[in-house]
Amino acid sequence: MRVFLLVVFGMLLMGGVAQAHPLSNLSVNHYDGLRVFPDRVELRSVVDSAEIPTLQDRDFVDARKRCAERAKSLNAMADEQELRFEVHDADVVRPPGEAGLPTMRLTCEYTALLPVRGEVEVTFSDSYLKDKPGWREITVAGVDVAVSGAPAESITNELRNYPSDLLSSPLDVRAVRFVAQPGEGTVVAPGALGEATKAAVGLVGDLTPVVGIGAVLLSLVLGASHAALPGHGKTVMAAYLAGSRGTRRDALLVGATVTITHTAGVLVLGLLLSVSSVIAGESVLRWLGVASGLLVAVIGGVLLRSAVRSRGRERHGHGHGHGHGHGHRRAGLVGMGVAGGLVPSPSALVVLLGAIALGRTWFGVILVLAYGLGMAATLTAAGLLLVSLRDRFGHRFARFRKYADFTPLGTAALVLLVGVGLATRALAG
Amino acid sequence: MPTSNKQRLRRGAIAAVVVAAAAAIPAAQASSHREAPLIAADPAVDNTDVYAFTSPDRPDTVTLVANWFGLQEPNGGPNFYPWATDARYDLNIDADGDAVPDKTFRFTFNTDDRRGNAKTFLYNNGPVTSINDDNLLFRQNYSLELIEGNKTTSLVRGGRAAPSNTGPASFPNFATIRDQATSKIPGGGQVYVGPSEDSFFLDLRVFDLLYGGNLKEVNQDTLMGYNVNTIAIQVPKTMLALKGDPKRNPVIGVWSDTERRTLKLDPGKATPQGPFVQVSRLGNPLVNEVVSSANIKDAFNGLEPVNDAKVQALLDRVNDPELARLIQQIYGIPAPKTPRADLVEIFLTGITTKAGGPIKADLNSQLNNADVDPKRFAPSEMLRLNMSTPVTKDPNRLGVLGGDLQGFPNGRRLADDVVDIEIQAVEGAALTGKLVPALAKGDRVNGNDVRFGDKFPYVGLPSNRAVNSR
Amino acid sequence: MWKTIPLLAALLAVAACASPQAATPAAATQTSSLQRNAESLQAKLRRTPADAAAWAQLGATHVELARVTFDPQHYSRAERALTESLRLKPEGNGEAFIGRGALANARHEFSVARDWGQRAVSALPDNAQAQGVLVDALTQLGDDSGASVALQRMLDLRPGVASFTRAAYHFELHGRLDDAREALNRALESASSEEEKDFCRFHLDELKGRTNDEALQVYGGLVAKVPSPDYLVKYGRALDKAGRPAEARQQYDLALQQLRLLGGDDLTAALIAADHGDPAEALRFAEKEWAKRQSVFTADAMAWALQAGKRSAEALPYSDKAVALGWRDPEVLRHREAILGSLR
Repeated sequence: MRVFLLVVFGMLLMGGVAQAHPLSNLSVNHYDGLRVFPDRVELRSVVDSAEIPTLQDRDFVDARKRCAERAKSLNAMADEQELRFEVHDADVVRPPGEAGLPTMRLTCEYTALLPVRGEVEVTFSDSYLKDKPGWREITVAGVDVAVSGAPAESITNELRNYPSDLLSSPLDVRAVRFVAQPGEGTVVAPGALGEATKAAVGLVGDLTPVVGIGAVLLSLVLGASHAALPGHGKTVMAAYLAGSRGTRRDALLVGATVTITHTAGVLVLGLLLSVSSVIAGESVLRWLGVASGLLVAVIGGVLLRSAVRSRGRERHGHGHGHGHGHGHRRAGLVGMGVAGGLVPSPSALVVLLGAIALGRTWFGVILVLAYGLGMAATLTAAGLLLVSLRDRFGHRFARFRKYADFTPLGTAALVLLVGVGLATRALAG
Repeated sequence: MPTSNKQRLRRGAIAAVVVAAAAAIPAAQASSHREAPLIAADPAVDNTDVYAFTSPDRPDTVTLVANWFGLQEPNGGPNFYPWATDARYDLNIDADGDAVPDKTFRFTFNTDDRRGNAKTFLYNNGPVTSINDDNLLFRQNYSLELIEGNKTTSLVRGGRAAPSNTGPASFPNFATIRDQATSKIPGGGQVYVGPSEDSFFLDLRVFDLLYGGNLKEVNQDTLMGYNVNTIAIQVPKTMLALKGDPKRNPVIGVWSDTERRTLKLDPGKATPQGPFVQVSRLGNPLVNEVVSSANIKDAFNGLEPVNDAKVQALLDRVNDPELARLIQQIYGIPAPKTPRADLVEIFLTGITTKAGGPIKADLNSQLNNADVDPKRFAPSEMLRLNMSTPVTKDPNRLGVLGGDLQGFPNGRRLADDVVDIEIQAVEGAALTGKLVPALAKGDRVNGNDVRFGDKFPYVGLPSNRAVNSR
Repeated sequence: MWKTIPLLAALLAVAACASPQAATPAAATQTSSLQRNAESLQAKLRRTPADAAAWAQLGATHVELARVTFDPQHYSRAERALTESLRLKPEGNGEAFIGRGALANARHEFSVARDWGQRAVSALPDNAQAQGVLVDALTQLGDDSGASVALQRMLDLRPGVASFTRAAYHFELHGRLDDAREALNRALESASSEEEKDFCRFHLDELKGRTNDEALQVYGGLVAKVPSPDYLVKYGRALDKAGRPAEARQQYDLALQQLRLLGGDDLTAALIAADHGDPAEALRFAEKEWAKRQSVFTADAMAWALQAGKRSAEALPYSDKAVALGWRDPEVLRHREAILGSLR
């Protein structure tokens, strides 16, 4: 999910849309990112000062000294024990703000000892410059430690981007309470992918032939990697191909359908969103999610019916009915592809909207097309791989034959279930 | 990827992108000229509800309950919801039907703040077990006067208002405090002033949704767990009835209002003091939602009942309620024919055969009082109670529409489901005698979450748990 | 092998559905009643996004939040919420007109605010807030009689903290300091939120006058919170009196830098430039504001900018106008004495 924020940030930063400080030139914004390790807590503390407080701040000498001072306003207790934050790194940058005035972004890296052997309750509060207006955000992530009770992801991307949804209030979180215990860490989306997306959007802003080709290639890669991430559409498609004894042609068909549906979907939604309000976009995504889920469920239902019928036939000794239901199957595959591509990938959408915002709509369209092709490539490749794996190794499992007879039925039921699940979730979300 | 995050992100990403282009609005500086509060809520003087019913355990008396300061969140912290000390809290009775109060029970407050000595900002330092506990540092006292024309009688002096319930640690037994805050009135009455759990139950979202166009999301008591400031007063029926005779003159009109003194800017005066003006008024429940509208709401709050009939906009709203038209749009249930003489009876005259109205019953209009001069009768919006209607053993939440003549709109009991009743009434149920089936479930909140008491002051004890902790 | 795939799929599906909801932090956030109001409106709008009145109220609440928190991001939020309200209901949307007017007043676009105020009053003739928008705009535009009429109407419609604080300002501008105090005391008595009470107490203290130590403390604290030009100048003045001219100079410089680079209020800029900068620049600022509105405030700025440029004879008529209502602000009187002194 960090990916998308990076995308947005990349666009804002490189696209040159926003010049003034995202909030006001009076604000001082705070972010504390806690990472809990089995033996310690690391804290990245960012203070983002807008133009005027930066001007006003005459006492600033060096970042390390400031970070040491800042530590005094941090208060953390692990059960009954107070945590002491030591500065291990400090950095300050002064990005130019409005009217050529500097702003200041101070980043302090602290460490505090905290052995997480059993369950430990931690409270953390930050009262630095508590009277100044500005955002305040705190996140807590576990690294090989399970944490609960606080958000893990920064919604401002560590004070680089400030969501401005009118129906949510600006963050003013000055304290958190969370529980840490030995266990699995917090899953964070791969960073490299995010960087790549950022670059792709950034490229849109500054377009030369080389850059253009680069951006197209990058979009291909992005699409391919998006499709490689786990998702229900793909899972279901795989299950379907496996269960319905698909051929290589089927795999290609699904890939093509996904690409066409996805590209068309992104284009339509993107153009819609760029002329309509935010709320419309949200609900469209939701209804598309519902539609996609229902489509999958319908296909599951049809599959289930034909699987039940064909099992019936087999019992009567007709053997494997390879010949029946080909038309049905093809329609099912296309439907599956449509379902897989119906909900636009947010990153593709962002690429397109970014391009629109920068006045390069046509290039955005090309990028989305490339993105879809990338997706299709992965999906088709996965499908092909599956089919050939099955063809090659399938016979070795001959002794599981009787179970194999249940597979189409099981697959169909699963597809139905997942479809219903997807639709319900989209509806509830 | 966890769904919720993913969706939130989509939302965030899309919102940010769409807004980015328009975000370069120069931020204005807040400075230089005096910027005074403008959108200042004034909940301490805002009426929320009025109830009037024959006391079930003392049928020779009537209990009047009026609430102010809605939506008090009892979140355990040092939250206090004081009565305004510069206002008059009035409960008005009109028994002769001229829309001018014959009797006004007027409550005024002063504050006894002992925190200065104790050097604390808390309202109590330690548990409060009685109303005179030294730990109780913020106290409010009230005077109750009865105003009849030019005559003013003092009924209670130095009455103690029960304090806001700041939590179980501060008030281990609020019921005791409430009993101690109940005072006797000369002539055989009693009065309670202090917080209570909001007796009104409804899904406020009904109105959101009616106006938003989707009546699906109902059945949550939106006021559950919130407290209000309550004045409850129980007096003999003889004290309220015209000529002191509830047999001949059983009907009374009831409404409450709040007044605050204004300022006069004219130079040359010794002090800038101005007269008291009415800032809030309430008789029938939900009158702002069902009858009034944004455009006349402000005027209505300042309007005295005697002038109601002169405000054409108000009469128009009763005769052609927007709610009926909204329901027609949403449900396709045709709105009854206008003008709505039946609603005029319910809201403005009381149900009677003597005003030429369509409802063939004599229930609760002052015109049915034997000693009322019909020439002086003035239609006005107030809650009308026939004190001679016997107490129903098993009350029906739909009141008169449910065949229970003791319920709303004949006065109002705490458990009357006024939302559902008014929606049905607006759909014409009072005229047809039939409930509109599609709306029969109404807001699907059919009772309050806290049980009402069976003796005075009947209202629920104030909640002391944070609303969102439930 | 391929038979394991459905199993895998099932696992994935279960994992995806069972992933935890984003936990809300048990945050110790400080929420004011205004903030709570904004949040309940947001909740309402999530249910019924087509509610024009709720959007308008949200917008007006953001204007109020900007005033209280000094966080101008609320202005852009207000603007967007009000735009949405007016998109949904462009005609007769009195509540949105009020919000628009309040926003324009906050941005010192007083003639725009007057227009919105008038539209608000015609849509909601009995609404005190609509009158309040008009009072603020007319006061700043120098229409004293118009402002008085609207203020009296506001007081009669809704005596309360909003009208009493405005009455106090009215009395102050007319030199009726006792009445101003009484009005502020009444405002304090009827205030229902801490922000409102703080506002009343602050201005009661301003009326009473502060010792220089108190001024150092109060304005120093305010500047640390919100380094707005107004507060910087007041803090600078206190520093000057305390014999700390170098620090005082820093405050004036910071104020001037802000006003020159980021724009803002030309009235304040004129006064600071006249005292601590370039008289020609001061006059430029003052004339710019005078062209927009001829009020006691701009008259004083004109007078003082002219006086700074040694044009006392031209300054006097402006100074006369500045005190015509009876305004006895110490700064205004200081300007006037200097002008009269150099004419003697």
